[in-house]
Amino acid sequence: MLKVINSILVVVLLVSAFVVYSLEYSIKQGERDIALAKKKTRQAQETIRLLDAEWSMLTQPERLQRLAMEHLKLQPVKAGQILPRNMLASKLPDRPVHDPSNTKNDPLARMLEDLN
Amino acid sequence: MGNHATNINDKPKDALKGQKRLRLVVFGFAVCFAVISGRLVELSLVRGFFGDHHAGVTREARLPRPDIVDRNGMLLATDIKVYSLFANPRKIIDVDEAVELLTAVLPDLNVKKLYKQLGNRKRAFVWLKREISPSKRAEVHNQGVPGIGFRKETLRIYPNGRLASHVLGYVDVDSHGIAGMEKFLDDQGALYTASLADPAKHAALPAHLAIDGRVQHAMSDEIAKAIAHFKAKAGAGVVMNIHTGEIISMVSLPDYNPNEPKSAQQSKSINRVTTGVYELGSVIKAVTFAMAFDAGVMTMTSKYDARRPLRIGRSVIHDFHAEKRILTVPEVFLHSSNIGTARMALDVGLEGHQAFLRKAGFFDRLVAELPEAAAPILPKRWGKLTTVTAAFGHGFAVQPLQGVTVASALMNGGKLIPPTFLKRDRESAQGQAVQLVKPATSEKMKYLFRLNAQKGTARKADKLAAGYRIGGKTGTAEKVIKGRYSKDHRLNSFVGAFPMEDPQYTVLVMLDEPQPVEGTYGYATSGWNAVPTAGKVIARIAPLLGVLPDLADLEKPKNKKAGTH
Repeated sequence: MLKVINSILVVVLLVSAFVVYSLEYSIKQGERDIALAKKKTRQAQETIRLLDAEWSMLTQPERLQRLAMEHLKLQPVKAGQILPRNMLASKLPDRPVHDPSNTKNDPLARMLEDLN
Repeated sequence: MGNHATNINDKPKDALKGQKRLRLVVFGFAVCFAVISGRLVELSLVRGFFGDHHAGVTREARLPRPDIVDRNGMLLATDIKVYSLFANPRKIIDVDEAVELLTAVLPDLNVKKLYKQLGNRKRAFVWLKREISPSKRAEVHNQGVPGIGFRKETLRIYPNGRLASHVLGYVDVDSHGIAGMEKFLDDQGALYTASLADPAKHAALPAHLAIDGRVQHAMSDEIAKAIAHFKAKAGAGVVMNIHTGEIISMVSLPDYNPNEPKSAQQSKSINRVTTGVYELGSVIKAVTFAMAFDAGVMTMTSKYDARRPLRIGRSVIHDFHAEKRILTVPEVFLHSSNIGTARMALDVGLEGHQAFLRKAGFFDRLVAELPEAAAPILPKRWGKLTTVTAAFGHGFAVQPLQGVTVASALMNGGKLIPPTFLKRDRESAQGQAVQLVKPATSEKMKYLFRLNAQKGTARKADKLAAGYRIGGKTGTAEKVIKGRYSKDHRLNSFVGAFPMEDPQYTVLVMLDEPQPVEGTYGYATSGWNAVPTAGKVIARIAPLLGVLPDLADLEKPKNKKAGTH
């Protein structure tokens, strides 16, 4: 009788030991995954910060002004070019002044084409 | 255990002794295990569920420095991670090889210095190069030189360079704020900084400034052009939201690049808007007008005798453009008559004059958020002559920002609102406001300011910013050089607002020692330089700030043109 109980206990012991170890391993694997994900998140966040800073550096008003003056034929908006909403209907031209298919007079489109 | 028990039963004499010993051992183990399990339960369950999760993690972690963005979210200051290269000379095996490999990747390293640094076996740590790029770091890393390592460091950068540098300030190598808002975030504004931070995530929300990056640039660009054109020594400009006290733009040129803090320490690049104090001159006359209206000693139809210079003791007060006649109130304003303004202040009286200036905050040091705020320079004794000169802005010097704050109060319905560099809503601003003058007085002042732009000294600004209904007062203050007022060294200013029927923004433009140039007919007073500059600024920033031009106002010059053609 005792021998049966003892052998059952030994089996239970072995099984529980196996379960505990496998649990621990899976937890460790999980922890590694979490650590890796955190590291990747941190790296991604740092990259985002870096790109944000770079974007901000590239869109400095001073730089945009310089580039616009160099490459575009646009001028600063004058007061006479601004209309209140209710005046809009009466001042609209009959047909569009800008023809989207004609890229000759669109310096931005031309620059994009040159890039391609 | 079973075997033991039979053994004991075999020898009855020793049994009692053996059993006792066994019990003692069992008891001892039981106590030990009970203590251990008790502690386990306490640690895992009781503390785990109810206790302080951060107990035991008292790492001294500094709060992350918040990013600084403008009112529209444009990034002005941020932290990025950079790598710095260091060496442990004791661990370096072959100095020649190490030097050769390092200089191959980083050619700007000084070879001689590097030999010296790496050959010094007494030291265990030496910086070789701070802040290197990620790609260079990877290259050095792949060379696998022993005794060479990297340390991650935080670098504060200002991607917009000089833009708003006087507002932002800068930090030292250890990311401690040294000036401007950076210092504010560390010192007086520590509570505000803490409210932005989220220590659990080691992150922080950005600090929103009141500054508008686009307006800031437009102002800076125009002031720089004016300095170049009028050969001025320096210039400054401020745009303030008249109802919230938010500083939309603050420019002081020459400025500095906060990415190179050394450039900030030159005396010429001080912030002239808050760190410098100036006699604002005729701009202050508007304050005297408001005081006289408010005290009830003057109405719009009052008249002032400006036929002869005003004599106070041994001093004589002249007018710059002497009209030599009796002037009405609007005429005193338009001709910027010293005599007329002085008489107004005398009518109010010395006590009343001082009380009003004190209420306007001219006697106190104004501190918004920037720590660089200068105290006013005031006369030691206040006599009749002091009141007379103070009436037209001489004899006491304040921060230009104080002038803008008070000018805003004169045009926004009489509310003196403390200025701020942080974003603020209208309700909270109105809560902090002090009623400086009656709303009716403010209406009269608005009329005078507008009139001065239509017919007076600020005409050029109105023409350049046609349609935006500006109003303003000019000031040409002679600077004190070696204790005397100099006729050739002027500080010219314009303070005004737009659109005048319901002012939204106050604008200040200041030029330090502008010279007469071609097209100004030998003049260098404010109307010839500060005023047109302000006009150009307003024409540029009004569309950005959502102020619509008035078409009726625009039609007039067009019709005129049509007539002459």
